Amino acid sequence: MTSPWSEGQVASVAPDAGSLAAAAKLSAAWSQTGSNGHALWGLCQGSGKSPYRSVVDLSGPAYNCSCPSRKFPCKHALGLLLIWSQGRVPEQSEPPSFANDWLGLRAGRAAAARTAPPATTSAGAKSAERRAERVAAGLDELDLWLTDQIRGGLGAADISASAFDAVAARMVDAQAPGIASALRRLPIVVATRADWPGRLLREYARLHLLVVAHRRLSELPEPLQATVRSHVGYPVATDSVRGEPGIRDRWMVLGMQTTEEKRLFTRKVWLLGRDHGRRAILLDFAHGSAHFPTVIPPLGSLVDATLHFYPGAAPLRAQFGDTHEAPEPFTTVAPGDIDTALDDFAAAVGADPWIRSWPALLTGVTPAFDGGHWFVVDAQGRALPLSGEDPVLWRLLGMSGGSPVTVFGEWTSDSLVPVSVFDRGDVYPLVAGTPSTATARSRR
Amino acid sequence: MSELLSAALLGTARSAPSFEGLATGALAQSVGGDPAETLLGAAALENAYRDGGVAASTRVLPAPAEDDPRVQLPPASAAHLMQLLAAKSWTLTEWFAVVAERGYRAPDHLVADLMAVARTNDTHRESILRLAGPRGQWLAAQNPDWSMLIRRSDRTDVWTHGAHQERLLWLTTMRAVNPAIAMAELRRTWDAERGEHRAAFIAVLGTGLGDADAGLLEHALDDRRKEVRQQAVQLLRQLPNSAYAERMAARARAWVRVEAKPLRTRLVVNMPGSLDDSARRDGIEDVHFKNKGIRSWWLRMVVTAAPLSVWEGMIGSASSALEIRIEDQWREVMTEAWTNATVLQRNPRWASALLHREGRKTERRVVPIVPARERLAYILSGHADSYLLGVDGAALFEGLPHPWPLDLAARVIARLEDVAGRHAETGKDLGQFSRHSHYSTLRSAETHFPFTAAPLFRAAAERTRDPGWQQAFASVAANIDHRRTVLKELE
Repeated sequence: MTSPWSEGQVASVAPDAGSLAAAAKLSAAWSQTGSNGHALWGLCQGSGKSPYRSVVDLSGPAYNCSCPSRKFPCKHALGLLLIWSQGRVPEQSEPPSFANDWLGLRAGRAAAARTAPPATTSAGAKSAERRAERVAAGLDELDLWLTDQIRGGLGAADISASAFDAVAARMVDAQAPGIASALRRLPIVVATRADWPGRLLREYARLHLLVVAHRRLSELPEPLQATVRSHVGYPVATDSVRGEPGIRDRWMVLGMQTTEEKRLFTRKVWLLGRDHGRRAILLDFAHGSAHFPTVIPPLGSLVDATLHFYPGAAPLRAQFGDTHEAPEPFTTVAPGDIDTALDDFAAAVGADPWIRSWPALLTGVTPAFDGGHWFVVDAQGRALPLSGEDPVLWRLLGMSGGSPVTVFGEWTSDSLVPVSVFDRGDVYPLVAGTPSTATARSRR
Repeated sequence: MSELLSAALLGTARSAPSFEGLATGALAQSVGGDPAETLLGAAALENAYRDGGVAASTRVLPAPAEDDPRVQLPPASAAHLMQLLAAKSWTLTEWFAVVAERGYRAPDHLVADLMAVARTNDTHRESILRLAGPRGQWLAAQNPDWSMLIRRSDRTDVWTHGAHQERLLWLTTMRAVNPAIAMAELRRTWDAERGEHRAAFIAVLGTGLGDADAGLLEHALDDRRKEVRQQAVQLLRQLPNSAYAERMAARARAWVRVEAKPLRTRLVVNMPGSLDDSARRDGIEDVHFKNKGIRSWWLRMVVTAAPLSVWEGMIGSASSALEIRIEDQWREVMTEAWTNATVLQRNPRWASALLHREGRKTERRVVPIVPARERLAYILSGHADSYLLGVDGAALFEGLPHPWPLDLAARVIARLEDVAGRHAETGKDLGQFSRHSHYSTLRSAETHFPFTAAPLFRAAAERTRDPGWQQAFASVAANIDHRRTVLKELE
């Protein structure tokens, strides 16, 4: 049984503010609503003849609606959640048939997933071997291409999007998706940055180093081997990560961001261990809609849990293992200064030279916009450049109003990309696509 | 690094890379392979070295935003605000009125987003800026895209040094905020402005127009540019206390008089044969009017611009003026001109007299000038039933105190139920009795009806047989409830 959500919780699953407002307007259009504690259902009269059939599986949560909306969840599912949060959905033991079909289908699928047999190890080992051979052959080709570019000169090379795309496609064939996606980002660099030759050389150098490392994979220490494999794009079985030794701490959720590219949604969650100071990132992917299989504690909360890190020389990505206590809000963070942030990044790059960014927590810094450039400045007047999308940076400046705040973000080698900001015990997400006020409110 | 880059740009086939300028130069020499491989390896090494070696720079902090002593919006309201703005909710006007009355400020984390909305939202811009307060102004001062949102009256440097469009924007905004400052600034520079700029500036004065503006407008009557003169006449006609109005009154008295004979008091018009220059200066032109001759036009101009008090002094009350006998030739012109004058001078006495005399035929522009209390009485007496839901009916509701009284709401709902009943008979989706044809009335109901009207709508929905109308009534009720929710949050 699940007790009704707060309105803030409903707001946090809305795809945008407009949907939520539209959902609120539907409150009179419902009939045959019901809930059995695990699911909600109801009929919503729209402008057409037959009403829309809307069902919410609260365990996911997952949503199903007969309306043609491409938003997810649609305004009907949100509307249903809203009237439920207002205590206006009656309890019923049995869902009606229109809800039962879909709920049954979901329950069946979940059961099937639980009982699926694990892949046999010998077949796994054989395919892994085949994969390593294909990757090695692909990377040799990549290195030929890279050195050819340098030999002939970047000034004369074909830097069209299709040229990069051709090499990227070859890397997909060679089962090196990590390298393929790095190559696919290059046309944007060329098109948008005045300093693209330097950037291109940087990326080529990075890839070349990866090829060299992969060639000598067996000579590398175990953690670095894992690092190289992950940058190339070898898959890591979720189960094997669970097998890594766990680290228990009280993890604070410092940042959260969902992005979409070609219908692939990526959710990034940044954690900081309150007791041991370790940083972690949880990554989740979902196709088609921002509906992620795992449930994570809300931004600004702290959870006593065990994390399992993906193996690597500078481990950061992790998965939740056992949770020992329910999440609760936190209101203070340990101090973090500019030197520590830079040192952390240097240490990480020393261990994993392919790293692009590292989490950074800066307390008592003042964001500033000065002569067309963005900075955070600490009490001693020392500054780091900021970068990011304009609305994000203005939001940050508006939050601080010229007074010190705590900024959490990612330090890339040349600037801090802010993710969230802490002020007077509250945490606010800065990135677009997160209903900022809803999250701030759900904390109270 | 630049040596490596230039070698990479040119190609190692033609130029050998030099590692001398590199921090990791000594180590780079040991990177094996052909020159291209060595270059890539050296670049990777140097990049990692530099990435790890970044140091902080130094900056001077700017002055922080002024403190805003007002109370922060309640959290639930702050959450709803962005939704209401995104949905362009009709409740916002009322919502902002409550916010202003209670003196709330926006929470800091919303200020930047609010400024971005203020930039494109013409309707609520000033309300949003008031809510965003000094912090919003502090942000706007730093963002070139938001310069139009700066509302400090001490920013007259825009007026004295800005480009024409910036100055026009400043004047327009300032006219709405503080008409006297705007007028003082305009008066200071008026004679030095270029002709087309004077025309653009004077057009803005319609906002916040008052007796204090008469001086400059009088001066503008002698302008070299026709648009400026015409605009000045337009505006002066709205100021019945001006010297201009006094001159028009003198003309009216000279041309029109009351002939009082026992039992047949009437208005007699005696037009001059030609116009003098002073009349032309006051905007009376030689124009043929509806084939009624030039003199009809002169009379129309004068009566439109003369203060309505002239006629009250000459004839009596507004209603007795409207009743008086007028020579056939002039009757229509006089009535039209009085109607125009009523609208221009926003004279409630004359507007009432016109509404009671003309009823349904009353010109739409006149109706909203009738005092709200009288209009309400008029509606509740049943006189307005036939056009309560029509397009013209909207004029009856304009400017009524918000929320509308419940008995007015009940009357409108009864009329709507009537329409719904007739629609059920047609069985069609569209047509004059459909809910779509009454969209604006339903919207007004959502926006202006008191919260106590929601049950009335629900009852109407239950009684109504037409499914479309049933849905419409239910949704108006729900929207009134929603309005109550978001307004209650402000308490």
